[in-house]
Amino acid sequence: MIGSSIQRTLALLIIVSLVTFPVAQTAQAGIITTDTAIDITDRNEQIDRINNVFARESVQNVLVELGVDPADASARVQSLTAEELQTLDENLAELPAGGVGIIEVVGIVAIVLIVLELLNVTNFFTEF
Amino acid sequence: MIGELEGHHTDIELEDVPFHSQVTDQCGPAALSSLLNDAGVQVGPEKVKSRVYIPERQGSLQLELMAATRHFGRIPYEVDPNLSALVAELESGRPILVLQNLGGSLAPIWHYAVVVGYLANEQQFVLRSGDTQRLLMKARTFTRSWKRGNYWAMVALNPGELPANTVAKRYLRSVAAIESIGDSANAIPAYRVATERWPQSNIAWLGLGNASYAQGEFPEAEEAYRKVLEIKPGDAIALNNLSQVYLELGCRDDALVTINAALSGVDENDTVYSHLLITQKETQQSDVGTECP
Repeated sequence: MIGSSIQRTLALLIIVSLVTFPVAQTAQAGIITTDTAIDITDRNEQIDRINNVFARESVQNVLVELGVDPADASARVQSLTAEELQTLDENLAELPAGGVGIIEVVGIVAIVLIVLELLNVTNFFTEF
Repeated sequence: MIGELEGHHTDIELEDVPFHSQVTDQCGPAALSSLLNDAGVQVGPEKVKSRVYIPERQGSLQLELMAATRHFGRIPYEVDPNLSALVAELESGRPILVLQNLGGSLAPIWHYAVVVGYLANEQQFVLRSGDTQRLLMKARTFTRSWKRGNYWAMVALNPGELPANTVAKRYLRSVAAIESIGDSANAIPAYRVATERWPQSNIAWLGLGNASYAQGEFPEAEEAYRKVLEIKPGDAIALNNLSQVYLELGCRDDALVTINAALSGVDENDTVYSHLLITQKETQQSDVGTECP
């Protein structure tokens, strides 16, 4: 009898924490989060906070596949919100990854100019 | 868009914004380090890199720059997509991290840089970019490259600091984001300043209540939830959360009255109905004292 009541309480706690929190937090089981309140006022679709747990794991795995150190990947997904995790889970491959430097840009432009020149499309260099 | 700059006749340049020369494809870590250093976080590109760089993509994602900003205890805020907003941030003393596309739409070349100034007479922006500490870029050229980056720009706010141009809802969303990843300590001053700026915003007070609750500051949480109820009498979320404060304080009777009041105000189809029921059940089963100590 005691066992089943503990089990029931545990199950309830797990459900509540899965539904309410992106991150495991202590002593907050009953609180309705500010995120949720904003979603409701905005009449936004509520973020599915159960799927959120899976989204976090899935994004973390993708980061590792893309060469991120597993420990870093695990720490990084903890700083993303539920909404961001879902965006990354669905679109990570298409999102822009800023990375190039000015030197490389100059290099790329130069190569394009040389190719165009070789193809006789332009006469940029012979003008000088 | 360029027309927006016509009203600005004075030069502004934040000369003290630190510069980190980028290594190969790491403009993200370099730019974010500048922004964070300026916001008082002592961190270098190597450490930032481990939070944002994706080797196979040879770059960093916008969302991860925001997440990393949160990790370092600052609030990432996406600036309005126009030049006036950039200049307004500069005038408030904040550098802005921008995403530029230096290529075209067919062959995009994504690049992060930090805007640190605007020279009105020359119509030039001053940037920390790549390996150039003070890159001058014609406003027109900059705007084109920024447009191709979908006008994305962010600042790193210190908790307690408001962006130059903002509306309550957008600011509160960015604070709710740091609260949701567990940084309630920094969320408290960030919500407090919102309650001062928008005293009638129930979300600002609710956020202050939730962050205080998470920090174990129950009297402060109670006061904030009561403010929500003054602004929005009978608000079920505030009542639910207030009942939790009473439980923490050992007042089960007050907690029950409060959660019952919340339930009496909503019908079964309400988004929070099931949550309220769980709170009610837990309150009934709770073994804390019935009357306040």
